[in-house]
Formats: sequence, C-alpha cells, structure tokens
Amino acid sequence: MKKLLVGALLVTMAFAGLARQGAWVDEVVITLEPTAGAAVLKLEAGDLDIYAWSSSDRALFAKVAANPDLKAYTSFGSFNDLTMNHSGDKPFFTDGRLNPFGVPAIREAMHWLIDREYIANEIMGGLATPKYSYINSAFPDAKRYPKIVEEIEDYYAYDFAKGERIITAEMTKLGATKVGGKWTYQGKPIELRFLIRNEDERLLIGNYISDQLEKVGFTVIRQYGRSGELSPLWIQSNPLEGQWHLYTGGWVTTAVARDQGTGFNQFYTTRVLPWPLFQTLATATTDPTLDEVCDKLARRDFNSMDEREVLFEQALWLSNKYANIIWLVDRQGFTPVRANTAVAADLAAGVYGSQIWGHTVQFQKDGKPVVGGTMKIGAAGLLTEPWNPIAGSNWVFDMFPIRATGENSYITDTETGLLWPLYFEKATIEVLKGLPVGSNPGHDWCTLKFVDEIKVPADAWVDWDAAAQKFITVGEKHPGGLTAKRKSVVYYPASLYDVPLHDGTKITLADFILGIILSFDRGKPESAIYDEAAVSSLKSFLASFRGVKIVSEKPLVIETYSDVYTLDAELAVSTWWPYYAQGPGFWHTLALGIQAEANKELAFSKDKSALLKVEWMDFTKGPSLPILLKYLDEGIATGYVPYAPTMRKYVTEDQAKAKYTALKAWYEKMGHLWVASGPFYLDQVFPVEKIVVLKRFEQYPFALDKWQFLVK
Amino acid sequence: MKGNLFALARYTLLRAVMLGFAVVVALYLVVLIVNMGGHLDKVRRGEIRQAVAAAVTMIPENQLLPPSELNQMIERQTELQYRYYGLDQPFIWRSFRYLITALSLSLGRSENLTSDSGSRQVRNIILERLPSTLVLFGTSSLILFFTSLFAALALSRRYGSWADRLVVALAPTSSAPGWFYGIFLILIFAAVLRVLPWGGMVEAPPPKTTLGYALSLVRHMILPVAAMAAGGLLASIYARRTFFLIFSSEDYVDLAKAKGLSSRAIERRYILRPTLPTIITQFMFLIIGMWQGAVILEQVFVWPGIGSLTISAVNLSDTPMILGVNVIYAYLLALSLFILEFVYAIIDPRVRVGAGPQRRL
Repeated sequence: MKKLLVGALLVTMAFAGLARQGAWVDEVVITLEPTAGAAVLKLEAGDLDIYAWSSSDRALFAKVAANPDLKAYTSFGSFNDLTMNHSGDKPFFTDGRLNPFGVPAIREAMHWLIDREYIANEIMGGLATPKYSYINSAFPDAKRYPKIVEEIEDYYAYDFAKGERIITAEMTKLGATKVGGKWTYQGKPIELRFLIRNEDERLLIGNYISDQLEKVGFTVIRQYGRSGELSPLWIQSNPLEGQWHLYTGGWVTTAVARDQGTGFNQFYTTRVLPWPLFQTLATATTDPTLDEVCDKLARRDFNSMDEREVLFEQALWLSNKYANIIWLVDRQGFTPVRANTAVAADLAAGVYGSQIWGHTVQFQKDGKPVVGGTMKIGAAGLLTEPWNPIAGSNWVFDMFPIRATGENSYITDTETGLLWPLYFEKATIEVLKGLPVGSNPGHDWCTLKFVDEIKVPADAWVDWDAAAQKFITVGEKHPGGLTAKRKSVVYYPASLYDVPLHDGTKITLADFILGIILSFDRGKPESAIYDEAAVSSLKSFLASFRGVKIVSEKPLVIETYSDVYTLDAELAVSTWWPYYAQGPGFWHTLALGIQAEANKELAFSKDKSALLKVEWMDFTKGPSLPILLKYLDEGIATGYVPYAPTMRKYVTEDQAKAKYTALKAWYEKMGHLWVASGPFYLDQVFPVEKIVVLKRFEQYPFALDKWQFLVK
Repeated sequence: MKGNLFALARYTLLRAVMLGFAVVVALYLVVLIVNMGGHLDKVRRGEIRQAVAAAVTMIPENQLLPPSELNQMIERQTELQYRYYGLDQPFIWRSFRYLITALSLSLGRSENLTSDSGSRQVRNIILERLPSTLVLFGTSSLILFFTSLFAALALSRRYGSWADRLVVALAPTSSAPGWFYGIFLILIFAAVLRVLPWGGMVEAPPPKTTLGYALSLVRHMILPVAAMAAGGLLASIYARRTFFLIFSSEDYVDLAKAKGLSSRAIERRYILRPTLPTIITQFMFLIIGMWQGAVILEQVFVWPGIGSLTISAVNLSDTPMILGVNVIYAYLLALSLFILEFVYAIIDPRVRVGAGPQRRL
C-alpha cells in the first residue's frame, strides 16, 4: 500500500513537472557582487548559485576547476591585436624620423616575432587561443574554412629568426645601421613608442612584445595607460606625425558573428572607421586586391558560397601580409557556477549575454533538471541605468534581468547564432537570384526561394507622416513602383492573440502596429517625441527598408521588403514582434511614456532627457513612476490611444480602458510598470540595496524543456 | 559694549568672507583637477568619437552606405554627444558654470551617473545614498568616538595598569585600515563560520516588515562596524589617553589633588574642561566626516554609500557629481569652523574676540 502511494505520488509529480510551463525555477534573486573573487567564495559556500559575469582571471579559473562543487561556462567574445602605426605606408614621419612600421614587410615580420602560444598559455594562463588571422576560432567561418585557417597558422607560426632576418634586411634597405646591437638612423637610436593598455593582460602582452622588439635591436619606450589616456594618441593623432608606433588593441563581440567577411572592410580599408589611423591607410595603392576583396565581402558582392570562399581566402592572406593590425589571441572568459546548476550560455557572451538564460536556468540532480527552487545569482553590476524598452539602459547588467522578463518572437541559438521560432510558426524568405544566401539544415521552419524580381505592393507601408500620424504607402511615395532584394513573410499562429502578458492582458495587433510606427516616428522632426539622436538610425533604416504589409490580421501574416540580406536566410526574417532595442514594450505601457515625453516631463533617451533637462524614463522605479501613473489614470478615464489616426483602427476606447485598468492593478500589486511576456516577471526591485527578484510567470505558454537542447 | 559688538560683527564678517573665499578656491581647484585643467575634454572627445564610430559601423545597413555618408552620420552623432557633454563650449566657460551650479547648491545634472532609482539629478543621487552612509558611518563613528573617549579617560586614571599596557601594545594594529580587517572578518565570519552575511545592506530579498528589515540591517552592519573599530579604536584610545595624561600632569591638577578633591571632580573640572575645545573639534569633524563615507570599505562590504558613489564619479570623471559631494563637504566644513570659533569662546574663557587688552599686558 505504501509503495502504491509513493508510486502514485511520483507519477503525480512527474505529470506536474510535465504540465509545468516556462521557467524551471520558481524564483531568481539577483544581487550585486562586483568582484569575481568574492563571488567564487560565495559560490563555494553555496550563498550564490551562478555568478553571471565573465572573468579571465586564470588563478580563479584554476580554483573553480579544482572544486568539484563548481564548474564554469567558457565564452569567446573578445580578442587582442597589435596595432601598428603604418604612417600611410611611408617609412618616414613628417619630421623625418624613420618609422619601421611604415614598411609592410616589417609589419608582416611581426607575425614571426611574436609567440602567440606563449601569450595564450603563459600570459593568459590557457584562457585564450592563439589567433593568426582576423577569423575567430570559435565562430562559423572558422568551421567553414578549416583548411585555410590551418595553412595560415602553419605559415605564420612563431619563428623569431625569420622575423629578425626580414626586419634586418628591410631596415638595412632603409639606411638604418646597428650600433652596439641597437638600430640607429642618422646616428640616433630608433625609438619605438609603444602604447600599452594597463587595465588587463594587455600590460603583460605589451611588455612581452617590447622585450621581443628590444631583442632585435629596437629601443622601446613603454607608455602605459588606460583607454581614455591612450585613445587621443592612437585614434585621434595623425599617424604621419609619429606620436606612437604600436598599440595593444582589444575588441569585443557580444554575439556569435555568422559572417565575419564584413569585418575586413573595417580594419584594412579607409571605408568604415573614421579615425585618422584608418583614414590614412594606403591599402588601395599598396595592395589594391586586398582593398577590392574587403569591399566585395562587405557588400556581399559574390554569387555563391564558393566565390565567397575564394574572396575570404584572399582577404585572410592579404590582410596578414599587409598587417597594419596583427591578431594575437581569441580570449576566453569563464562564468563560474555551482555544479548542480545549468543554463544555456552564449558562445560569445557567456551567461550574462545569453538571451535564454531565463528560459533554461535550472538546478540539476544527477545531470537531470529538477523543477522549482530559488536561484541566487550574483551580478557584477545591477540597476545601472533606467529601464525603458525604447532607449533605456544598454548596460549588460540591466539587459541580463530584462532578457528573462521579455523575449523576441525568436530565440537566438547560443552556439550557432541562428534563429529558432518561438511565437511564429514559419517564415519564407525570397531573395533575388544570384545573391549568396543559403539555408541551414535542421531549420525547416524557414523556406528560402530565389526569384527574378521582388516587387513591393503599392499598399505596403514604406514611411510615416508624423504630422498626420499616418503611414505613407509605397504607391504614395514611389508611384513608379518599388523593388527589393529580399522579402520576408512571417506566419504567426491563430493562437497568437492568446499570448498572455504579465499584467493579465493579451498581446494585440496594436502592439505590432505601434512597433512599426516607432521605427519611424522618433526620427521625424514633426513628431511630438522627435529625438535628434534617433535621426541617424532612421536614416540607416530607410536606406534599405522597402516596405511592410500586414497581409492577414488573424492569423497574423507580415510581409517585409528590404534591400538587406544575410548569408543565412534564417537571419533575414522580420517579425515586428514588440521587442525593442532595450526590451519588451506593449502599446498600453509605451503610451504612458509617449505622453510623458510629448509633454516634456520625461524622455525615452538619455540624450533627450539631457536636452529637456528632465528625467530619463524608467518603468521600474524612481521619479518617472508618478509621472507615468498620472497618464495611466488619465488613460483609464479617457481611453487614450497614441497615434490615434492610425491606431484607432486597432484599439477601441473600451479596449484601451480595459488595458489601462489591468496595468493599474499590476502597478498596485507590483509597484512598477514593467510589463512583458517572458518566463519571469519582475517581482521586486530594490534600487539602493541592488536586488532584483524575478518570479516564474505561470501563464507562460511554452514547455519547460523547449530549449533544453541548448543547455550544456 | 558697543565696541565689543562691533568687533564681534567685524570678526564674524571677516571669518565668513575668508571661509567663503576658501570654499570657492577649493572647489575651483576640484573642477580643474577633475578635468585635468581642460585636458579631459580631449580625452572625452576621443572616447566619444570612438564609441560613436563603433556603434554606427556595427549596424549592418550602415556598412553598405557610401563612406562620405557614413562619415556624415558619425560626425552628426559625435556632435550631438559633444553637445550632451557640453564639449561644444570652451572648458573655461564650463568650469565657471560647474562652480556656480555647485556653489548655488542646485547641483545640476550628472553627466554619466544615474541614481539607483533612475534619476540624473545630482541632488537625488546624493540623497539616495545618504541614509545608508549615515546609518553605517554614523553608528560606527559615534561608537568609536565615545568608546575611545571614555576608555581613554579610564586608562588615563589607571596609567601603567595591565589594561593600559595592553592598549599601548596593541595600538599599532590600528595602522591597518578598516577595510583590511574587513576582508579577514568576512573570511572568518561569513565564509568559514557562516554566522554573518558577506556584505550588502540587507538580505536578499529584503524582509517585508519594517522590524525584519531593521534587524537584517543591523546584522549586516556588524562586520563593517567591527572592521572600522578594528582599524581605528585602539589607536584612538591610545591617542586620547596620552592627551588626557598630559593634562593630568599639569600643576593645577596636582594642586587640586593636594586640596583633596575627588578624582571625578578633578577629571571633570581640571582635565575635561581644558580639553573640551579639542574634543568638540574632533567631534565636529567626525560628524562632517560621516558625509563622505569610506571608499574602499564600502566596496569590500558592497555597501551602497556616498564613498562608492564618489569612486564611481571619479572613475567616470563626472564633474557635477564630484562637485556635488565636495561642495556639501566644503560647506559643512566651513560652517563647522565658523561655529567652532564661537563655541571656543563660550567654553574656553581664555578665548576672546579682539584680545587687544591682553596684548597690552
């Protein structure tokens, strides 16, 4: 009997677990812990379960590795380089001093002079991988072209003697002589001013490279400093003036880059970065082929992936030969967690940058997820700046909890960077024949078609009349018709409008429409919420945007036309889900902010708040709330709908009042106005104490284990 | 009488003007130091240009724009940012604007920092952190002050006792700062014994009742207060005990002892009274010192006070914020010095305004 009861209980629990939706844990408590060392102590003591920040402290990594109660997720988001002052490929500065790095062959010789294995293993303590070219060893292009990567690694492997031989030959050609083992020119020692960043391991890297240069006879002046101290020299000064010779560079990427081909243009040509160092590059004259392939890769001017491979191979070899920048290591960060926890960590951005950490964070027993519990997470920063979805805080510390409360209509694969549909069912991508676009196996939700021409329908919306608050159609703006290079058709399910929001209301078509309006409105001078800071992004958007059309309202089907395409068809879907740059936003919450900004009481963006001398809008706390609440009460009374000439078609007065009433009830219960649809809702915010409490959203519509395949 | 009043008024005015002048000069020096005499503008311009270019070029659509258009876009954004930080105006003009905003106590808006609750008003940012600073540093400073005062008095009465010798022997341990002890206290009581929290103001999530919150706050204050005591108490007792001993060996104290006055009366009338101006001065400085918090100790205990705010402001070179903290300290200091002038005159009969007749003597 007892066994039967226990069995029944277990079966019930199993079903309860299966029926459960959304998050694995019941509650997440995020607290501030600025130092990784203290965080590891807390993890060891069980006072933290996860430390959501990436560290590169090798001693700490060893400590975590040695403790069976702890484990770590590694990520590959940053990389280091040696930037050289090429002085426009002229071997002399304007004052007549000799600049060895004005000679491409000497720059190339630096490849052989630097032992990248030493940097990766000794300086970085194994938390790095030697990097011999621009390609990131963990990203898709490295897997696409392993043979090229291997050949480059072999060719540029550490060979001090070879490097020294080339430098000696080139220096002699320039008229330099060695006196007492030191290179001199016209009787004076050749001094190299090396700008060495001192905030991290770049200090050791800079010292190591300085030592190597001194071994070949250069006199090195080491100038240490932080970013702000050194940037006026290497970024702003004219390279020909010769204020510096070398700089320990570092770059970061916060997502898996599926197409690194576009990056060559940035580092090896004058076309992207506006700083004198890049504007004076002589690639176009010294190596026109490199200049050409960089441009072609950036514009995706190739007809097939085979053609791309040829261009990519050329770009890799030629850029290494031109060598105004040489790459040193791909760095690894690690996120320490307790061994009984698991989460889908992003390959590039670790746990703190994972878009689905909230969906997947879990306790485990014997390698299997268990349901329930409170997850205690430490964060290196928290509640840094105001939360508002339009132009609120962009800090990773703020986006970390925000991502658990809201989500886009798709999930970004933490390993591949590809998309998986969440709220929509399928998508079709049409691109012009000849464009190098492909689809990936296993992503059947996306159908790729090649067509001869893509005509944009005359009734598609292509712009916005901010004064009349109405969309401008393609027929109105382009009477002669308009074509596009890419068309995306996204199909939402019929059950879309049952998607629950945290405040008890449901998503509506108006949420999508407001999103489309706000893509234009803030950048238009006639708008009540015009923001100068939004003009550039609108300009960029309009440069390639060709139109959007709601083909069907229920089920919702949206067609989007654009001239922008990606190598992967899956990345080209335009869903218009109401998830903005800084988080989720639904029309009835944003309406409050729109009124507050229109009446110059608050502003969405930091820049505009400074201009108006008002507070930066925050939906979670602080002086913004009373102002937003004032408009909430007005909304309950009047049924206000923003951009009424357009939005009234999608929201009635009664529907608006009902939405506002639900929002008021939400505020009274929670004390904030942050409403989203993600697996957690924002339960409590303690700004001074720096504590955020998230609770599982029980009505979240997706199964517990939906993204379990991404949990490593 | 009239002459005395006039002398007093003149003296008061002169002191007020002198102190006011000192405040203005000190604050302007702060403006110059924070901005590296204007050099920071160049650094900031570089950082802004770099950040804008990186942000603009990261947008895939922009990578397809012609270079001239892209540069135009970067220029426009950069100019906007320059305007936001006031870099479109000469530093000298801005430096005086910073100064006037600070002196007028309007404090203005921060350039980078945001208050925990999302405000960019310097006043709000400071006011938000003030209670947590006052509660921790107020408590610890007052405990430290009065404990050391009474302990020193007691030791001065028992010169050469074992307790006195122990304090003398252990006083050098106070040469290490409080945060240094804080690390050890955390390791012992939080990491190993697990009886006290690691840091922060309250447990997470905070208790919902006021009493629960207060108890949690007290529990979280134990280690930082103990760290501050470890870093300062013994040295403070030692210094005061020596101070009292010097006064205890004055001739008039020996005379009082010879007259047969009780030790308590001697202490009150002949030792404490002449040392009162020094004690009051120390107390005043202690009170205004609370305003600034303790930078490293707050970091070690993750305590959200003015100290950690100041260090964030310094790291971000947020001039209005740094001035906001400093101007209040400067005003408090000037006001304290001003008040002390009169307090000395009241409690110490040797202090007189003018002192003309004494010079003739």
